Amino acid sequence: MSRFRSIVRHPLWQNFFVALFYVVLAKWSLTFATVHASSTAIWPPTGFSIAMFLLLGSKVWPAVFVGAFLANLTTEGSAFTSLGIALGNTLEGLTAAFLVSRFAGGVNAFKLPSWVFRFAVFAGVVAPMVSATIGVTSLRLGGYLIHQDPFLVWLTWVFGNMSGALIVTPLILLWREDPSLTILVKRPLRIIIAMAMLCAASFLVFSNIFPYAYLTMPILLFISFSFTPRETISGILIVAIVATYATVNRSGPFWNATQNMDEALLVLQIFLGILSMTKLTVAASVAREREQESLVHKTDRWYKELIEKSSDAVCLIDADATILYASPSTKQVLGYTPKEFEGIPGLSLVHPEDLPRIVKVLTKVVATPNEPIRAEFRYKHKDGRWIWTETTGRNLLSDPMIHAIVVNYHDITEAKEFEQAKDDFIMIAAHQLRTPVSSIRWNAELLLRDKTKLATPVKGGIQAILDSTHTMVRLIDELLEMSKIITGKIAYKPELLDVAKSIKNEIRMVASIAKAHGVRITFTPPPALPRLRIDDIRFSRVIQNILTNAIKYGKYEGSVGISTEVTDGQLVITVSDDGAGISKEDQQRLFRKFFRTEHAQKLDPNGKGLGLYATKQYMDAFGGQISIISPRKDGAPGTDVELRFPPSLLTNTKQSKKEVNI
Amino acid sequence: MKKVLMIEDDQALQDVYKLALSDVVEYNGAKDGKEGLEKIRSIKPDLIILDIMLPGGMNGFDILEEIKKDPAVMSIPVLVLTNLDTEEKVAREIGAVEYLVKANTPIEKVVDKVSSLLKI
Repeated sequence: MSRFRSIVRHPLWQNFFVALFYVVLAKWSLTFATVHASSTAIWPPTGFSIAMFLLLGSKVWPAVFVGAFLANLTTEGSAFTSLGIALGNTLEGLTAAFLVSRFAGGVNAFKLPSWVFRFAVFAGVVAPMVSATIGVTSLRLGGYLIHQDPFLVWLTWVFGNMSGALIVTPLILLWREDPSLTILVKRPLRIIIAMAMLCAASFLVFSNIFPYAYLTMPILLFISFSFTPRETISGILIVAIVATYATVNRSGPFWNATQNMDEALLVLQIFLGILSMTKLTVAASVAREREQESLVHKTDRWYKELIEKSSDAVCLIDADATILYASPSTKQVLGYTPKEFEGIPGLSLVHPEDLPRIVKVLTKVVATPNEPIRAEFRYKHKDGRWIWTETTGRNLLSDPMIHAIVVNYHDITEAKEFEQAKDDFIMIAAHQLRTPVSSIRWNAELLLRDKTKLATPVKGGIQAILDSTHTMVRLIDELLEMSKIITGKIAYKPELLDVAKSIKNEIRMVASIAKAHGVRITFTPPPALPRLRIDDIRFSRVIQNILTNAIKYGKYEGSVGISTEVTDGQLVITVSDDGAGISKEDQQRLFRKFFRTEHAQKLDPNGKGLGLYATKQYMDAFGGQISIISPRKDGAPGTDVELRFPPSLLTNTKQSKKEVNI
Repeated sequence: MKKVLMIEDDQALQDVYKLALSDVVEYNGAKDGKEGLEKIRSIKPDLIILDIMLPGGMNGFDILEEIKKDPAVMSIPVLVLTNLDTEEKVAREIGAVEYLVKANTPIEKVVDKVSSLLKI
C-alpha cells in the first residue's frame, strides 16, 4: 500500500495521471463543441487544472500542457494551433493558481466569503481570458476561424472555462479536504430529502414541466444554510449535469429562450457560474459563522468551567460593594450559595476591625479603574466563623462587557493562623528569654561588685560573661522589634510634630555612629516647615533608619545631607550621601524583607536586611512614598533617599498661605 | 530594717535579689499572686517589687489593682520589674511608682531605685 502511495506521489506519476485525466475530461467536453471544434461551451478541464495547480503546485504544468496538447491535436487543427491552445490552457491554470494562492487563500478559498468572490474573479474571469485570448489567436493564426465571429468564439471560450473553474475546482478542493460521508449518518434524512428535492426541481425545470431556472435557487440556498460548502457544490453539480444534459437535448429554459445551441449553452454557463459563486459565498459565510459560534461556545464553556472549578471565588460588585454576581466557589469559601450571596451589601460581612481599612481600599479601587488592588481581611462565613481572605479587586465599571468591580478571593485562614502562631511564639519566646538572661547578667554584676576579692582571670571571665549577656539582650530586643514591625503590633498614635526639631533630634541620636565613620551630617531646615500629623515613634524610626544607612553604607569620612521642602503640597525629605551608590538591580530589591546588598554585607555582616523593609512599611502606613535615586538627583555619585509625605498629613503651618484678594 | 517583698516566679532571680538586697533590707519572696497578696497583708512590706507575667491565674496588674483597693496596703510603693517593654503606661496608671525592664537594667540601678524609694 505504502509502496503504491509512494509511486503515486512521485512527480512523474503525478504528471502522468494529471495528463491522462485531463485528456479524458477534455475529450468528453469537446463533444459539446458547436461554435468551433476546439471551442466548447463546457470546459471542466480548466477547473481540474486549477485544482491540480493549487494542490500539487506549479510542477504539474507539463501534464496540463501535454494533456491539452494531445486533446486538441486529436480533435482538429494542426500541431501549431494545438501547441498554442495548450500554452493558453497551461498559463490559464498557472495564472489562476498564482492569484488565488496569493490573494484568495489558496486551497482554502471557499472558507471565507471574500475569498470565494476573489476566486470567482481570478479563476473564473481573469484566467479564462488568458486562455481564450491565446487560444483564439492561435486558431486564427493557424488559418482557422475564417467563417466564425472570433469574438463569439472568444466569449464562448471564456464562459465555458468560467463555469468549469467555478464548479470543478471547488468540487475537487472541498471533497479532497473532507472526503468523509458521515453527513449521511449524522443527518441522513435531511441531506437525502434536500438532494432529492434538488433533483426533482432540476428535472421539473429542465424537462420543461416548469421551465423556470430560479426554482433551483431556494433549494440550493437551503443546502448552503444547512450543510457545508461541500454539499452546496455537490448540489450545483447535480443542477449542472441535469441542465447541460437537457440543454444539449434541446430542452429546458435556456434552449427555449434562445432556440440556438451556442447561445443556449453560453447562457447556461453564465447561469451555472453565477449560481456557484453566490451559493458558495453563502455557504462559506454560514460555515464561518458556525465555526465562530462553536469557538465562542467552547471558550465560554471553558471560562465557565475554569471559574466554577477554581478554588478562587469570583464575584462582581458595584461601587458600593453590593454583590451582583457570585461564582459557585462562593459556597466552598464562605458557605453561601451564589443565589444567597447575590444582592447582599458586601461590606456588611466584613469584620468590624477590618471595615475602616476595607472601605478605604474600596474607595481606592473605585478611584483607579483597571488597577488590581489586593487586600487581606476577615469575612463572615455563613456559619458565623471569620474567614481570612486574600482578595483582589479590579475596577471594570467602565468596561462595556463587565460594568462591575471584579473581585476574586480565597481562604487564607490557615496560613494566617499559622503566621499568628509563629509571631506569638517569637514574641513569647523573646520575652521568656529575658528572664534567664537577666539572671546571668545580674549575677555577673553582683560578682563583679566587689572586684578586689577576685583574681584577675576570674574577673576577666565574668566580664566576658557580662559582655556576651549584653549582646544577647540586644539581640532579643531586635528580635522583638522585628516581630512587632512584621506583625504591625506597634499602635499608631499620630501627634503634631515639628519636623525640623524631630530631624535634629534624630541627628543627635546617630551622632556616635556618624563619629565612628567620620561622617559629617548637614541639615539646614528652611525657615517655615509645615507640621506633620504623624506617629512620632515611626517617624523617628524612618529618619533614623535612613540616616544610619547613609552613614554606614555611604562614604567613609564623607558627608550626609538632609534637605526638606514642600512641593505639590507634599513634604519631601531627601537624605543624600556621597558613597558608591546603589546599582539599578539592587534598587529594585532594596525594600524586600531580608535583602542586603553585597556592599552592605561587606560593611556590616551582622545586619538583618529589615531596616529598609520596615521603613517602607512605615511609609506605606503613612500613605507616603520612599524612593531611591542613585546616582543622585544632582547627578553626583551616591544615593538620594527621597521620602514623600502626603498633603493629608501636613497641617496648618507656619508657612504663609497665599490669600486671594477679592 | 525596712522590708521588701519581691513577687517573682523565677527562683534564680529571687536568689540574686536576695543576695543583692540582704545587706540593706529584710528580703521576702513570693512565687505567685496568691502568695504575694497573703504576704503583703501579713508582712506589710515597705516596698513591693512586682513581676507582671506570673503563674496561677493572677498577673502583676491584677495584684496591683488588689493592692490599690485595700486601704491597709494601698500606700506601699510598687516597683514593677518585668520582661515586657510595652506596658509601662498601663502599669503607672494603675499605680506603679517605677517600671524597669529586667534584661535592660543593671542590678545596681535596681538596687539604687529600691534604696531611693525606701529613702535609705
